Amino acid sequence: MGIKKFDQERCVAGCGICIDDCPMDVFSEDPETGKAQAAYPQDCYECLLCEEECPAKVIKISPAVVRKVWYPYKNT
Amino acid sequence: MQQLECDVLVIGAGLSGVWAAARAKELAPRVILVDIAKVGKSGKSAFSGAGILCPDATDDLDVWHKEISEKGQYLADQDWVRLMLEEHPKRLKDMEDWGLTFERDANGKIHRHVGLNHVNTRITSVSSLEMLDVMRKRVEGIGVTLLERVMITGLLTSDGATPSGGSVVGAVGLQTRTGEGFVINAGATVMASGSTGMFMGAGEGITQGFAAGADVRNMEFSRCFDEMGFEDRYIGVHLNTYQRLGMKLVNAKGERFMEKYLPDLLERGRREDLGLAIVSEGLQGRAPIYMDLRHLDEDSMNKLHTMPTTRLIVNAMKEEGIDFRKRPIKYVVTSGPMYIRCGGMSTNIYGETTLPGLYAAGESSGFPAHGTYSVGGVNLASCCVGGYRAGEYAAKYAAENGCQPEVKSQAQSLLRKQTGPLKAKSGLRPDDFFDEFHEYLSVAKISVFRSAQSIRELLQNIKEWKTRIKTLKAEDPHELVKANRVAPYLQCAELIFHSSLIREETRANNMRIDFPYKDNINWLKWIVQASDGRGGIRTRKVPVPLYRYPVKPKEHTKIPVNLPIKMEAMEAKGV
Repeated sequence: MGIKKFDQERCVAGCGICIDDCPMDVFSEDPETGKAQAAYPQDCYECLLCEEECPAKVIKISPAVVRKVWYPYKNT
Repeated sequence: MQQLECDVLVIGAGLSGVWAAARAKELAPRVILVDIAKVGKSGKSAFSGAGILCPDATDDLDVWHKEISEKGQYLADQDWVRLMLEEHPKRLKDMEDWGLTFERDANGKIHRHVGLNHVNTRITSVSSLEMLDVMRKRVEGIGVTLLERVMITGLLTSDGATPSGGSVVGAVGLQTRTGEGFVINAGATVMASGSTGMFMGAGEGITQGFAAGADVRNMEFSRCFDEMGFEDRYIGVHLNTYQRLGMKLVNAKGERFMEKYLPDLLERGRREDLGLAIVSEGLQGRAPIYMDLRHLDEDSMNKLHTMPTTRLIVNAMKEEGIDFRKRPIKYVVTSGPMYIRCGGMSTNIYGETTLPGLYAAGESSGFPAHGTYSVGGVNLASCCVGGYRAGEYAAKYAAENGCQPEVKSQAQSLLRKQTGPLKAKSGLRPDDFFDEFHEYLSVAKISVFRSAQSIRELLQNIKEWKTRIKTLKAEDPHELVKANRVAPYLQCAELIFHSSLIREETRANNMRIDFPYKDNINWLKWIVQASDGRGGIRTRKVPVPLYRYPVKPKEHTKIPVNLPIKMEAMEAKGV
């Protein structure tokens, strides 16, 4: 699932910590509000840096994966 | 476009890269450390379990050397093993001096424990993000220039040719948010950009070195299965936590199947061995597999719910009603993505590749101390020692040889190529490529067990893929980064399976069902691959110089390997 919740209302404009830190470059700055936005949520790797470091605690990451997974055997 | 110049260029800021930059800057005035993300929060090492080898003055290093070399199935570069053991305590001391905290006992000794699957060596646990943060502060403090959010896409050579008859003189890259081009002239270049796996690394550092003319080695020990997880969606668990607490694995019939595969170690075996056993059970119709923790005492169960990282998955599952206290939890092995294990550029004890001016460290250097693979703590120790040495000798090379200008036509061609997908009107999207290619790789006869037939089919398929990826489409710089990973990834696949076809034996991850034995008569050799300059691969088999190594194999025979699935069964199931 990756980004489970991103409360943009409480996000602090100009903070930018998540934009700066994300190893997958998931976040970018919304040019209108100056707040962060999850521009590429499909690339989240659930490393949790953003959730841990967000000072306003507006991000909730789910450790369930976003990307497709395959198995070498029938799993049912 | 920006043009920069330095004495030493370090590509990648995981643990080996920051170490290379830190050491290079002590000897050279101008060092650039470039990373695709943020220095200190990038690379696999920053997110690793952070068990790091920890020898001290009381240890008998001969015993450690023997164990690591034996676990690496005699394909380790034993010069590297020794060097790592001797030099690593100095690197640990440096990091402590710079602020890294180690857990110590009442006598002031670093708290150590036995690494999984090992008996004699000891590791210590550190916080990986803290370690990388300490190293960031160090490199910043001594004046290394950090170039963040820049992806390197190609190496520059003194003669403008690939493969080159000259030397590496720098690199070309792109800013990951703007797409702006960079040309960096460097006296020496250290490749430390990892391999494949976490964070979608596509082995681009290895293939850039290969294209420029450096030899690569040991690629066949890579595999396309690994990630383990719960309930089809919680993938990437820190398995060693559950192992330490005493997990049990059972199949759909309720059998504790590890008794068959690893009667001594059971579920405490290596991650690879557990994965192989799970896949084998699955192929024989005994999936799903479950992890059972109901027998844990209250203390252990509480640990599981409170340990850093582990608790996140455990508690998230609990919110969904998936509770380890109440029932066994479905446990899966996934396949598809390639994991390069111990494959990379051939690198000697000075960090030199076979191409002048190009050095390698960490995963890009294929971890020469590992052989086929020994134990987790060797990874991070190799990053520290390998990075330090590559940085040192790169700085010395740069001082002797100076900077050379790039060949303009080569730089321009690389700059055009890296932004091509942005200009394309239509084409294959990189995410679609990765999904389709991973699905193709995921079947057991490629991802886990291999045969000449399945490898030949795959190599033919890769040829077709090479045509399909000629036109890629990216909408923005973010997608452009992924597009620049497509060709390297395919090149890595070709290198892996090309060498796998040649190695006609089963050793570590090169599981050949048509050669179900470890062949110590013919295959105590490294397979070394080089670019032939026409899109093909030149191959050499290089005997491991065991005659001068202290640790030698006991058996010079063909040793049967009991692969738990036969070729006929694979064909019959169509897997």
